[in-house]
Amino acid sequence: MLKMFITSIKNLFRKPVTQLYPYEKYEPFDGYRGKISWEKGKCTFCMKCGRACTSGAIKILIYSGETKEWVWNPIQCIYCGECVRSCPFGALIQEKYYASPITKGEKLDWSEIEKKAGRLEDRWRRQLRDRRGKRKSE
Amino acid sequence: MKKIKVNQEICTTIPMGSQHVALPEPVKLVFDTENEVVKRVSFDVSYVHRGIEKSLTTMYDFKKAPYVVGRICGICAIAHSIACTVALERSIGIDGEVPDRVRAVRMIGLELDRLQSHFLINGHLAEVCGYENIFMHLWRCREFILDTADMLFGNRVQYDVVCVGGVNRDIDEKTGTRISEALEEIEESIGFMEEVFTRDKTLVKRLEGLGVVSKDKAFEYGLVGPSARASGVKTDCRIEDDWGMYRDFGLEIITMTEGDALARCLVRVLECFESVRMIREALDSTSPGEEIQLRVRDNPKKDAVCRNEAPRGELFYYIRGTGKKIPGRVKIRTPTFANIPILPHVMIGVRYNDVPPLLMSFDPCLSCTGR
Ligand code: SF4
Ligand code: SF4
Repeated sequence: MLKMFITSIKNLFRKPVTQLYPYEKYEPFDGYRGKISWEKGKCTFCMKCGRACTSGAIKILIYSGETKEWVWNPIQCIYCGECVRSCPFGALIQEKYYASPITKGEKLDWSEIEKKAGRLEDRWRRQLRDRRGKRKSE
Repeated sequence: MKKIKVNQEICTTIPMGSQHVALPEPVKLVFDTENEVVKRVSFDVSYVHRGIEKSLTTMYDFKKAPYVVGRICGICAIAHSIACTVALERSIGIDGEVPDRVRAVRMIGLELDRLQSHFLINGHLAEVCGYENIFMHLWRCREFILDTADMLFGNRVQYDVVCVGGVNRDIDEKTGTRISEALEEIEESIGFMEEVFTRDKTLVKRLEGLGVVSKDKAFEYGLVGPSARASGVKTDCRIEDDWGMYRDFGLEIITMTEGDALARCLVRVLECFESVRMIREALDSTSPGEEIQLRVRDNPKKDAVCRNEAPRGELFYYIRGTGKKIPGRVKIRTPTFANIPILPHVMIGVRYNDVPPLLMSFDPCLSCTGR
């Protein structure tokens, strides 16, 4: 009992172990699981990251022709880093700092993107099948 | 089971939960009491059902499974991930090839998890006893453990470090030395916790002789983990189904014979010392830079089970491989599921104000049970 009493008194004058976050800057350890950043120049749109993603937070939109888009949902992501490890071209990096929350100006309509990705993939598959069928018949 | 007679006329019914200050998670207990003494208890635990077993057999392929099952519980996440991974590896047939470094990193993760979980529950138990100071101090000490985990794995509680065929990050030399320093500090705080739980008059008087479970009763109800060990049952899945190197390091199973709430706490405290020793051994046994991930080419094809010792006791995974990417069946049995059936029996005859500490001394984790 006495020991606990002394410890309590001591704790009154000790520095807190937690941080006063918004007032104090938080410096994460090396290897903190932060934001996933994508480099456009290196990416070949191979779709490996999309398939490896645990939570389905990466979608790749392949429009007809050469227009392609890589979208990432910072809210659905669980920051496991599986995509970074699966990318064969080193286009993805997990940064040390966390992703900032989505602000007012930005808009991320994820269900719309998911639908679009599904539609595009279907179309792309159909084209592929048609092409293969044509080749066989020739 | 004995039928309990309750005199309805002088009985008061007190519901506790599904939200209650003493409970960290939703559970509903309904007590029938005569004056202060509990006469009958009924339970409902399934408030947090999320259908994770089903999703594993319909949505996610097996490589994503360790991350998904990690979401079952916030406190023993890595225990779930490891049990799932080991079962999958056995199903694929690569469990013999897993490198030693991988085993060591997994062990370090699991033992750190055990440390923070034991600090958490012992602190929480002190809080429901009304001893706020110990609660505050133990959680202060727990902060160092969480920081250590943050340094190692990049997350404070949800480590996400295990994947099928290995682990996905290694511990480098610099971090290793920092961990060794942190362990000394942690050991000091465990010593403090031991002193408090053995010497402090207030706590000891409150917890001694509360909710005694005899060895026979523990066998009969199939208790697991620290609750069983406090009643003198020598069981520990780390030894019985050794996926790591626990047998090589000579893990000691800590048992006590009293079987009361205090013994359950003390078993946890003494286990913390063993955990620290295991982390030290694992750090020394292998060196960084070894292979940490195997290439997995096959799909799960056999039936496989894994028993892993989570902080609360035996965690059981069964996986039926079908040769496809998605397993045919996943069965999870969590430690709290085994520890709950005895609760209505030990609570009978206890005064109502002793119920929260008694409940906490079994360390229930209800989101695991509901999953
Ligand atoms: S895996 Fe890499 S290269 Fe392939 S689509 Fe993703 S970011 Fe691009
Ligand atoms: S970190 Fe994990 S969840 Fe997030 S995008 Fe990458 S693979 Fe998906």
